[in-house]
Amino acid sequence: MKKNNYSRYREITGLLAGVLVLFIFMSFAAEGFFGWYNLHNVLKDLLILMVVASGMTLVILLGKIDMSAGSVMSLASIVTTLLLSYGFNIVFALLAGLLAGAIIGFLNGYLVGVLNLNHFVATFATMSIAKGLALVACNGDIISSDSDVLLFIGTGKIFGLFFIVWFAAILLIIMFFLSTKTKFGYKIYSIGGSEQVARLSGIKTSNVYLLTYVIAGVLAAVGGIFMSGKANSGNATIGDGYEFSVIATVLIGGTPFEGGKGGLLGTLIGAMFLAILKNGLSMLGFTPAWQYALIGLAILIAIVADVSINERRKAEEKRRIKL
Amino acid sequence: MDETILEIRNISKSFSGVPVLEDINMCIKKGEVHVIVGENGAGKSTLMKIISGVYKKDKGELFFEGAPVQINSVQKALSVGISIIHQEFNLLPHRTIGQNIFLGREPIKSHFLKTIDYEHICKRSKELLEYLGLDLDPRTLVYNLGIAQQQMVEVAKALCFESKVLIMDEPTATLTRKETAKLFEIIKKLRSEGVSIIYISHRLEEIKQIADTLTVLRDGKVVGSLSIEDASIDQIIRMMVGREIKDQYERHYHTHGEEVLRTENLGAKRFSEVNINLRRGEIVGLSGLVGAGRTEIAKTIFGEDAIEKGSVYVYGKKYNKMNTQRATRLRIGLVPEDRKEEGAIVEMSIRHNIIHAVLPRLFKSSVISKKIELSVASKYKEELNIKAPSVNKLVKLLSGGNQQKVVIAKWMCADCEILIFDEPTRGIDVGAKAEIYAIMSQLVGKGKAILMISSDLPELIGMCDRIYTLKDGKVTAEFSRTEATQEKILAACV
Amino acid sequence: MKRIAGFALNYYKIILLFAILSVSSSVTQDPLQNIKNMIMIQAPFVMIYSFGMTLAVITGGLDLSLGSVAAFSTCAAAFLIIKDQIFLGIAVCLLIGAGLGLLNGLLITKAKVNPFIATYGMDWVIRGAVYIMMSGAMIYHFSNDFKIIADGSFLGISNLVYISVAILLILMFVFQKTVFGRNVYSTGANTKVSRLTGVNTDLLIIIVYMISGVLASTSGLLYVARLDCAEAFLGKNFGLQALAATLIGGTSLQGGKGGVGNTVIGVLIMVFLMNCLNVLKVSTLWQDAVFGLVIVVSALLEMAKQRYANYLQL
Repeated sequence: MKKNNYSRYREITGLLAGVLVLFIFMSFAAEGFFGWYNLHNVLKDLLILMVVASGMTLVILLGKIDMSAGSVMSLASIVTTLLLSYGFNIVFALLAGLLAGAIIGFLNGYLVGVLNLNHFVATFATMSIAKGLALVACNGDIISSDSDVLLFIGTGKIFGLFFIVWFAAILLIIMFFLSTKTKFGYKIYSIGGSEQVARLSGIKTSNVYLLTYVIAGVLAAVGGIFMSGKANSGNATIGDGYEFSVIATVLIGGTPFEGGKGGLLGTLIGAMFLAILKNGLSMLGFTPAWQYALIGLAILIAIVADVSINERRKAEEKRRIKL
Repeated sequence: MDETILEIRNISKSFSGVPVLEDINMCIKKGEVHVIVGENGAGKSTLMKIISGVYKKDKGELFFEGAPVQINSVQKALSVGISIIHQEFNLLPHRTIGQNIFLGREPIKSHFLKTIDYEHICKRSKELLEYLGLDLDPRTLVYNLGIAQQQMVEVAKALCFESKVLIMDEPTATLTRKETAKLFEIIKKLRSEGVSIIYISHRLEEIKQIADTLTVLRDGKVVGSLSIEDASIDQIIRMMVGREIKDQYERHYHTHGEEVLRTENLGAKRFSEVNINLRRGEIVGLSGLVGAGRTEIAKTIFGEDAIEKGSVYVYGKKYNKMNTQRATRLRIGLVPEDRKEEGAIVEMSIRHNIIHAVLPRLFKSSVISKKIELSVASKYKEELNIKAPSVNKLVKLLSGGNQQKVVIAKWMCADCEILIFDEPTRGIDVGAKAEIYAIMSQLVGKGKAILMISSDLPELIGMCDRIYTLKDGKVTAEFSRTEATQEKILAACV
Repeated sequence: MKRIAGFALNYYKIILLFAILSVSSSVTQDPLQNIKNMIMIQAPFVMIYSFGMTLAVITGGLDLSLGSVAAFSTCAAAFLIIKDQIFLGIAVCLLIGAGLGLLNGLLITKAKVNPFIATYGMDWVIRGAVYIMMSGAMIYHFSNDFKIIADGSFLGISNLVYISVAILLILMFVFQKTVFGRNVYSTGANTKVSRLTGVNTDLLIIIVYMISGVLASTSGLLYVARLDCAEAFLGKNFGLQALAATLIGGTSLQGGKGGVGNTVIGVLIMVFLMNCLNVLKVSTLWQDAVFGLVIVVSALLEMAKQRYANYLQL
């Protein structure tokens, strides 16, 4: 297995080495970075990012994109906290938050997979729809919650580790299993590799698109609920621009836009990279405005690098494969 | 042996009103190799796509093992036992051989979780590969395979479906002679086990080797079916073309002028050390198998691909770097192989396309005059006999031949001195072919120079003054018009 | 039925325009004044940056960085304008717009990043840079000489209208009548063919993104003059609104089709729609959702038009 996936194997070790270098750099350069308290928080942020990014990974494996991830986070955050503030049961509120994510995901899947709209534009539009709905629902205000359960979701610990860490770990194991071992996962890779080939092999592509976008939507909602748990409040700007970090995470992890190759393992390393970078920058004393710009720049560089590497790889493939 | 497995009755199909197939009747027997031949555009591929469920038929019936079947999807065709290996492979490069063989029908280990039994996939794939005489690990990525091996994976895929009818669409087009021989062995092996094979080919010389029965298609109709013992190559050719083969390559040979183009040790991605030259008033051919580097040479001279080594001399001036803007300024024009993606902007009008290359020179002040534009475009439309009601018609609505004429008109309009034609007559009907040959003759008559790439040897020999042969990116020989024969050229190419 | 559907698909823009207008007019006390207000004051801003988007869409891409380009260039210029160096300020503003457009163009053509990702990423980076530059402050109280650009009027018609119409006419001329414009359309329709016909497609695309940047800074400048305030949040919605206006106006995302003329109607639809929601007392918080819906609907209309073109004999 290793021999044949050699290039992927090398890619992943290369990424890990990069993360390690960054980690060591931050440990020495940024005061307060290396220490259990901070690293535990980095781990938490990393896993929130990873949960959303694992949904995005599936979408990008399909050769598509989901711009609405950040807005779905905001929407889920608002829906959950709003229902809590109206006195609804916490379970009901959480489920409603997830359902909001599922609905936007379904809309994405329907526009992209069934109606064949341009995936960038379709999800960009649902992004503003979700954002707008969140704003309207909360009337632009921050909704504070007094739910202990929500607070526990965001900040509680089990056996010394954050609840989020346990929950995300289980979720990621499920996602990993889903994407590599199941029929559904196989279908995602097939469609991403070539939609035409997949169709000629009798795969109902529209169903796969729908389900994948729904999963991505629900996972984004989970991320949004985590975020509002951290603050124990709902905010319509909680996920603003988050989709950009998420997309970068996936790309850094070696799942290119063209789809059909890569996977969750790489995304996990990509998430490590971004989470360490984000935390390290703030530890280094950069103001939020600087962080905003620097991380944006880092992401843009990662994207440019990804594209140029893949351009070259594609040229190489064209030479070798008749497809 | 004489049992009919697949019967095709009165099948018709048309695309946007143009009939492509009319009343096709055919019988495929169990365990035979049934070859279907016909010129480009005769409807072979369309018929196969109907049988394999890719296209829906307009009319007619299919009978499988005596019973009528409705094949309305690829899935249905596969479940009945019909599978097809398309000209373009249906493989995913970044999945393993095993995953590709079982694509879309992976065995399930646990029904509850819908997990896939990858071990079983590998075991079964290994068996299939061994049966085909291939020593490959089913866990290898398809990305790492050569073309012939990829084709074998396609065959393995068909076997895995336990197909009773296997359709192969020009399987040998990109294979070497040795690989072809191996494929034929496998075809014979399959036949002996009762699998029927429908084999589409252009290469008449192959047919005698493997065919049991032969059906000739022409213009969407069956001209006739006959057993291979009764058929001679001459007879097949007559059936294919349906009329006497006249000398359609009308060339007047001129005295050649000065040299306009020369390459010196030119090298790039897929070729190296290429030295060719081109003079006014002559057509020079480039011959070679697909992948020998012909198109790449053309694109490098035209500046679309970068020159890595050597240089190009145009009108005696040396260039170590080239790009498409410089090439067009030097009055070089490229009529590319892929008409719709590289030749013409099909979403735009004939007028737009014809005027495209000459724009900056025609309107020096940079302001476009619609009147001049119309008159220039109309002039070339008349001159090249482009069949369309007006120059405002979109190119995508034209036939292949007329689209090609639009591309040629674009370069004529820009007054190109050096023209590169890459497979100029591919996918074009016979009538338009002759017109394009006439245009080419006329161009060299006016002192232009043409570099012509073609896979069609008779065409190349008929049109060219000189022919270079290529193999694996290197020039292997040069033949003058009088020396060139199909045998000599082929020998230099393989 | 067929005919009605075909008619509706062909003239949906006009129908939409009148439908929205009649709703808003039935609610307002002085519909004429309202319409005048929209056309004179609101539409010109939107129009100018939407033209930038339209041009980018014609090349087969799009420009989501309009808003941050407007914010960055005007904020930088505001430092000069507040010191009464108006012309220098305007020149700097437009130059920055062109420079940022150049970066977009380079990312798209040379680094081959998908235009959507490239401009969205640039939007993020530039916005971050504005935040750093302004560090939470605003610049306001400009001189009257500067404010007159947006506030003044001539023959009873606002300067804004003159400026936007002038830009419209120039763009229409350049993109419909010149070799450059023709080549931009060809490049948008099929970049490869255009390159293989000797067009310097990379250069053309870069120039178009530069024009788009300049248009974004122009409308930003007018906003600053009108509001008498330069701040880092300027233009948060430009990209979204411009994309909605462009698409509903009928410029196709496939590139090579449509034009700034279509976008005029698209902008009017958007402005009328916003106004309509306004007079109906719908919260402005609905804006984002409405923009999103308009984009989806126009993409669907475009698709329907293509898919049923034969059937409806359009």
